[in-house]
Amino acid sequence: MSAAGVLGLLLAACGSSAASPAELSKNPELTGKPVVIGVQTPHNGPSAYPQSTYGAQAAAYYINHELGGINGRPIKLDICKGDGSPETAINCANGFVASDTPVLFDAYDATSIGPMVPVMQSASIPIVGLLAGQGVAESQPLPTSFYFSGPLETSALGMVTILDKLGKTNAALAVTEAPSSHTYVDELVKPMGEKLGVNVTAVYTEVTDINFTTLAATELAKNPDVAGLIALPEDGCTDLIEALRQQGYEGTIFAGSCSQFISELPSEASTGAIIQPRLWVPLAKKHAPPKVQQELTAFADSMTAVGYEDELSARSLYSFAGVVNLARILQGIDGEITNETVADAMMKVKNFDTFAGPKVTCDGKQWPGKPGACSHKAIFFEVQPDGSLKPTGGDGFIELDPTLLNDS
Amino acid sequence: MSTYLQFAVLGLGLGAVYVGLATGLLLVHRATGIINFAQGAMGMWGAYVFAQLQIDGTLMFPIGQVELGEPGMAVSILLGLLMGLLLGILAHYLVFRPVRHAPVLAQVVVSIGLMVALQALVVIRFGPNNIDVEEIVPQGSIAVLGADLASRELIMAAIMVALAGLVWAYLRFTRTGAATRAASENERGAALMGFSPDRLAGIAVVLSALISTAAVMLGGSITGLNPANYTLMVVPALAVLLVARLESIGIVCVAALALGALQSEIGLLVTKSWWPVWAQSGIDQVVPFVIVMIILFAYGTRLPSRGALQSIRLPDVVIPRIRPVPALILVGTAVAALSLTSGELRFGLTTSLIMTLLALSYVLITGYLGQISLAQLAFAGAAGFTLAKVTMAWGLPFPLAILLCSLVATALGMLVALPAFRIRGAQLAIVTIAAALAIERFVFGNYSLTPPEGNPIASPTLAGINFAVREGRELARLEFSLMALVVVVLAVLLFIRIASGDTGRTFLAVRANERAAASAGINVRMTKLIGFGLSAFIAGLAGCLIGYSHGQLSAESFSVFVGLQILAVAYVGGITSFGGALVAGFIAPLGIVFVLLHQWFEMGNYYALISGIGLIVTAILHPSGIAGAVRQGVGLLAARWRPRDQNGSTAEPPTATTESSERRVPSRVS
Repeated sequence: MSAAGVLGLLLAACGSSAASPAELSKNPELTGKPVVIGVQTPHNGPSAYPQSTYGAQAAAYYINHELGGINGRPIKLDICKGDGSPETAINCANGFVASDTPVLFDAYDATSIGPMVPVMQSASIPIVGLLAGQGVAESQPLPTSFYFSGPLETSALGMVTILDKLGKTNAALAVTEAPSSHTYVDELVKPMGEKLGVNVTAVYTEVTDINFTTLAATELAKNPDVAGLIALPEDGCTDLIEALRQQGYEGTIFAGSCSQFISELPSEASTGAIIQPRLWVPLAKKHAPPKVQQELTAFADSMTAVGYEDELSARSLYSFAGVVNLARILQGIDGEITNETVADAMMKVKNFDTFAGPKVTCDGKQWPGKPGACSHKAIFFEVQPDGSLKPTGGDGFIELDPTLLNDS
Repeated sequence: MSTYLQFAVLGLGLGAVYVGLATGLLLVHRATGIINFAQGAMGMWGAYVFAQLQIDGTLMFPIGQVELGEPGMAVSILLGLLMGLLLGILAHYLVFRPVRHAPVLAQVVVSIGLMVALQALVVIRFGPNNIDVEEIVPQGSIAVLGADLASRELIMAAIMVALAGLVWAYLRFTRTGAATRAASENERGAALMGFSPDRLAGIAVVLSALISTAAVMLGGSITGLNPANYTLMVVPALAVLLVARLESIGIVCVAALALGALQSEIGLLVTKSWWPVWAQSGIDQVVPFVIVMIILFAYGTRLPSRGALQSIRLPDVVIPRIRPVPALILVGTAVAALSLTSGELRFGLTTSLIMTLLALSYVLITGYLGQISLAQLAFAGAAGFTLAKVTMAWGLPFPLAILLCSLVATALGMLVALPAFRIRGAQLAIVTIAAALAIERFVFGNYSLTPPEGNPIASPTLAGINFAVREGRELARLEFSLMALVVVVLAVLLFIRIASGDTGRTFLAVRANERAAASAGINVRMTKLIGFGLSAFIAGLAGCLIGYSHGQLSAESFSVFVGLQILAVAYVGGITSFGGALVAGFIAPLGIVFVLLHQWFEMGNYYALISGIGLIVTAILHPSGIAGAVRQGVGLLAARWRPRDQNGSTAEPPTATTESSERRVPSRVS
């Protein structure tokens, strides 16, 4: 009895029935040699988000069926599923280098990309993503990585900015226990907050061990006028917001980039909450400009076409948008698509209109200390009584001022 | 003041879970002598079944599922408890009963295997993310002394204390309960009186599964349920168990509730402006560890042990000798394999070499010295992280850097040796797992030490030669692989030299019987100190090499769970010999077998499940691991081919004689 044999049987049993998304993405009208790009997704392990994979797969469908592929060549995704361990990540990275992939798309796989950076950097293969879950890649000089939105600190800076705009002075917010959280709270959020007159208390919590009642109580012990979170996983968000409301808190809630709670909690609990995703998320469609509405419809249609109509979340949108952005940039490459031509093309990205997002420029100068960030804009939404999301402060993305960080 | 009272009451929710888990641990220990590291994981399964039933009416089994429509809360609770009960029965027959008379190491290993396997199974069946657990006790508050206290947590604590009270009554007032207590004092006596210790053990394991399932079902509604949180909650529950001296349920209840309240208060204090910033991470895990250390240090020798019948011995240790010809062949094969492969395969082989080194540290501490240490990977990680600081900040040259960092690991190892002076066996396992968890949360996760840009490690160079692991598209340069081979060979030579010399003999004497060794004039404390220090040094070397091979270090490479996986792999390979370390290196994460399997299959979450099950099977069927099995197999084959001598009996198997001559040492880990 070999483990491999048993495993093979199990896999054979599981892998039958319907056509896979990869099959569905193929378009027989595209006859050129496929463009294969590497994709790293947080599909397995303790902090897995399979929706990140789904969005990328739907993007392949959209590119091959609606965008005409990459100049007549179909796109094909070489997906490596991370499981949160650096060992699997490095194995994936080695595999990508060995198979000569021209670019690696980071589908928001925070724990994997960090360990992969030395391998990808050594082989000069650029990493492209929508948003980075870690600070390792984006702080390296170009062309190590290119992210179509702001860096890890965007949430922190954006949050303090919007709180100041709303006239809040005392915020108590939960954040996942991780070295990066401490750094950006202590070195960014707090000093910035002080400057803007907003007192921020961060309550740290282990992501796998959240006691929501205690967490909510700890926040409310500070008598804040804004409670909630800077960053937590979706389930954590929902449960914390529920706990806050159950303990009688009626003030403003700041919910990071979560959106699951809107459909899971009653409307009284979620109305008025402020969220800060990186793009125009599907729930904001009602209040979005026409171009974005078309894009969100295309997103929903593509996800349905590959069998994921129930997975229209922010995470799947981030992967979808990121891969589509990348494909449109690849379409502009004259000649061979190699790691060098891709890196070149990325560095030339200027005022590029991203999918359901802002215009970005990837010259390495958008955010001090983070060459990989292509934007310093952010968008904030307020939950409406009908569950839709309306942008606060203007009609979309606003500029953040990262130089504020350097003055402290 | 009222806030502190509020927080104390909130902490009772967590405390209630500790009551359930610690009571379960106590039951299992009294009935079988086994410390069940899988207690939290066992409680988790039933709770997951309950949660899933409430979410979509699906009754999940390890394989397969049944749709039940909309079962009510009561039915779901019953089904969850029933699943817990079934799990208890299975665990008793398949996992605990076979090792009841085995050495403590096998018992520890088997429960760790169960823990790893259950956690992997939960991930495969229920998914990796947090799932919501429907509230069994509704939220609310009652006003006491002017403060609004959470009624839910108070009710939870009351329920769990009542259940613990039932267990106490069972042990005190029923015949089987009294028999269980009697059997824990003297198993032979109980057997002679007509009680079956096996059946008593079975009842106890099932009861413990039930009470733990109840605890996790209640606690899950406060924290949600995910594969990691309740599995690891066994560590603070163990602290509570030790405080209760492994026997008093009354103290279990008090200590558990107190610990929960204390952790909750600390959570509040950490947000105060005067709390030191460097102490903000992981402090709630340090508290149980410190408690464990203090209790064991003060009371270690007086903790009760069982009057068990132990009839199975640990596998014999084979004293290694440096035999030039086979050694040269082995090294030559390694050099050839490294030179002839490239890319991912060479990277996998190189990692296997490094993992052999790590497994060797387990062989030294557990196989030779007989001490159960679950903190080896934490030592390796400490060396690795120090390396990151030392090479980037101080620019220390490469051979010095490795030495210095391994010495840091040595110091840490010797620190953990201190409680080992007074305790051994499963209790030492508890201390080391608590230490590993505390180091993981408080040191590796400490943001003062780990910036968000990561922990890059400068490439090693020596005398102008670049020993970096990669360059351009070359994934594993020969220079690095050979350098790793040289380090491993030197470490193995060091190991063999020590193991075959006087120090090795004192190790084995201490492993066999500490008191006898002491009365023979051996300084047991010094021996343990040296053993821990040396094995930590070897682990430190491995940690540094891991750092160089990755180019940048992540805390996740050295977490408690990965450490348990490496222990599993070392045990399966064979924890009493160098050959075992070699096998372990082959099957370790990111080693050559891992790389090949990932190329052929999508492993998903199956690697963890397979290592957990492999650990259980090896501990039960083949305590000397694959290496031992191979050795036996080779010995049998050779015996068949040898000519029979005049008396008609076969000659001694050649491997036994050539490898160990007269030096076979039978032993027991006490």
